[in-house]
Amino acid sequence: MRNRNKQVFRLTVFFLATLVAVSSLSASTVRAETKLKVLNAGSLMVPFNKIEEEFEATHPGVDVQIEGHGSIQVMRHVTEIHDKVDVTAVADYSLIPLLMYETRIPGTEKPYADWYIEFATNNLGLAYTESSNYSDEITPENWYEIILRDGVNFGMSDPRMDACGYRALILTRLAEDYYGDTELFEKIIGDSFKNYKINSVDVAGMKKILVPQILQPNPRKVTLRGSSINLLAPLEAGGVDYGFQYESVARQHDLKFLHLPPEINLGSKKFAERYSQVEVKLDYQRFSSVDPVFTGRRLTYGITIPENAPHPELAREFVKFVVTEPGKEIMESNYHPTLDPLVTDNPEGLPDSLRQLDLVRKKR
Amino acid sequence: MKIGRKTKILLLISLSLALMSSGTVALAASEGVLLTVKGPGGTEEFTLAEVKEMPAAEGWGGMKDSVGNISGPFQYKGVSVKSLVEKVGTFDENKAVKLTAKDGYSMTFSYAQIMNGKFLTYDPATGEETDASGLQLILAYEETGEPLAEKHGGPTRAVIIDGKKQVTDGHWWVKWVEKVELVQLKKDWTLNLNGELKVEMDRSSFESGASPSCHGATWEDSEGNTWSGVPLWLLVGYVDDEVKHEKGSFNEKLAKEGYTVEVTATDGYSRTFKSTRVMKNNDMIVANKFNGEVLPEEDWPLRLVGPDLKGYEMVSKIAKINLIFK
Repeated sequence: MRNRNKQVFRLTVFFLATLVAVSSLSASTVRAETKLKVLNAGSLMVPFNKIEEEFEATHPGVDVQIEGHGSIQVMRHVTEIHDKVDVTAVADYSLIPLLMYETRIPGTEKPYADWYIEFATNNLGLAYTESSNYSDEITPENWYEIILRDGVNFGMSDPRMDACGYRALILTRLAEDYYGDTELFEKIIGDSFKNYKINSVDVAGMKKILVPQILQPNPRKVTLRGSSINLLAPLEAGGVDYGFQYESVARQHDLKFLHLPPEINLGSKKFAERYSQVEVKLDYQRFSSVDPVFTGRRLTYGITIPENAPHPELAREFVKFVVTEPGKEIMESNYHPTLDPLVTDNPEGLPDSLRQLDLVRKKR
Repeated sequence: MKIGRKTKILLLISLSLALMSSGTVALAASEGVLLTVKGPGGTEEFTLAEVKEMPAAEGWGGMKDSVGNISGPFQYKGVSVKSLVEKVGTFDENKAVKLTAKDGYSMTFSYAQIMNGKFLTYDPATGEETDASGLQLILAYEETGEPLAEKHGGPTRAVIIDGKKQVTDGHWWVKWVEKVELVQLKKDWTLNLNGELKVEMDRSSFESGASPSCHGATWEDSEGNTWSGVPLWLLVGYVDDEVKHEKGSFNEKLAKEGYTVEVTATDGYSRTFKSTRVMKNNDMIVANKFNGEVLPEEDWPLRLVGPDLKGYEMVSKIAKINLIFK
């Protein structure tokens, strides 16, 4: 009986030793390839995929894992789902202070971030193809007449889900003033939905747009998709004639792009004040930590490193790579305009390696 | 066979380690409330075991994310959202279903989506749009025969299934759903304000004015219900003279001289108030919300409420406010 007991004991010890050995082996395998998790706006996917390749080529043993989402979702993954993320890059820099500065990392008093760098810009216009109806007639002066013609279907991403969608609403409201047609928003947006309309009202000098909980597009007039990227397929297939789209995304996918005047395209620093007079409000609370009000502002991308990033040193190298020459060149060659000089709200809060960059301070 | 104490402890440790390393340690299902279902007919709460006792819906579903990546389809089992909301009210086209996750994220589904299964679908192989119909929104608790893992949105996740293999937009696939609500959709309405000026105020304009950062006011009644909206005097000030919104829009001189404010419902019921009583009186509120929601049908869209009013003065279903000058 004693011998049997000893045998069981020996077997158990052997089993435990094997388990520890296997665990150590897998741990060392993990160490051999560091996974750098980057969450970025969907409109950055094309250049960031290329940046991933180049960064990995110069950083052996590093696997950059790019994951694209709507910008609000990028923030949600960090501050609400509490995913461990190394770098976040969003299409609206203001989401970083709004959400990451204001939210504490669970169990600590630290905010998720206290700095960001504005590193890229963009502008909004109409993507189309040669086979789009009236494509040989459309100009920055008549686009709103063209998309209202019978037989023309225009597309936009859903303003409840996607920044490009609510920006299309802001653009259309700005167009009302720019082209001097006080019914333009109603004709393009209001009349394109059934039952529950997207309304625009003027209150105390602000142009406010209210988006209802349920949207029922008139399919003969408008095609609604969950994201600007998912709008590309119906455009390419010919189901949609014109789609509100970022210039970079349209060009990356070889679509034609109609530049709209800087007064309305959300891409000009000069007209930022004008953009800020329009705001979009969702008629319901979609995120617990996000007040669903989006104010018009110049399209500017922001990047930061969450305070709880698993690989902060590597994350700093990656951010530097994105915002300096290697990254800038990749962005520009993929039609994505970059900012020069870079802008930050908190130079003192930047990690040392990023503080040395050519940065302009902006007021908080 | 008798096993020594040391051996027993070692066996126990090794067993635990083995289970943990293989990732098969299943968290004991909480016996607490998993799901709250709320609607005009009341509120019901269910544990996971109770959800699993309901008639199950099974099928295939997958999703396409915002940058076009496709995952699935996988086989799911769960309970249909349609059957859940039918427990708390009658679903019609003026209502919608709101699913809320444990982190506060929410998504609203239309009548057509829940009752007719109208969702945009894609071919899982090519990602191209397809023309499927009759899909079903369920709260899934099983994926490919296993309990839905927390990292995949379990214990219950919104999933769109069908008998065939297709994928749908990922934004509908709400993870960690803990609340299902049958909500009344906001219908549009107008309020006629007739004084020196005549204004047709729509819902959007009223709601903008009623926001806490603008002119919002609230009152808690004796039963603890909260009514919120805009003080009557501010609406009167909007049309009492040429000054609509700026500082001093309410003409005090005119009010002191005296006129009558008539508040009229859609069915013709009306009450009148002296301008001196209305003047700068924040205790007479034209409410558009009751406990944070659209007013109930008997009061919709607006009701005059406040501590300075008797029951019969609280006009419901307001359609018109007239200023009657002498």
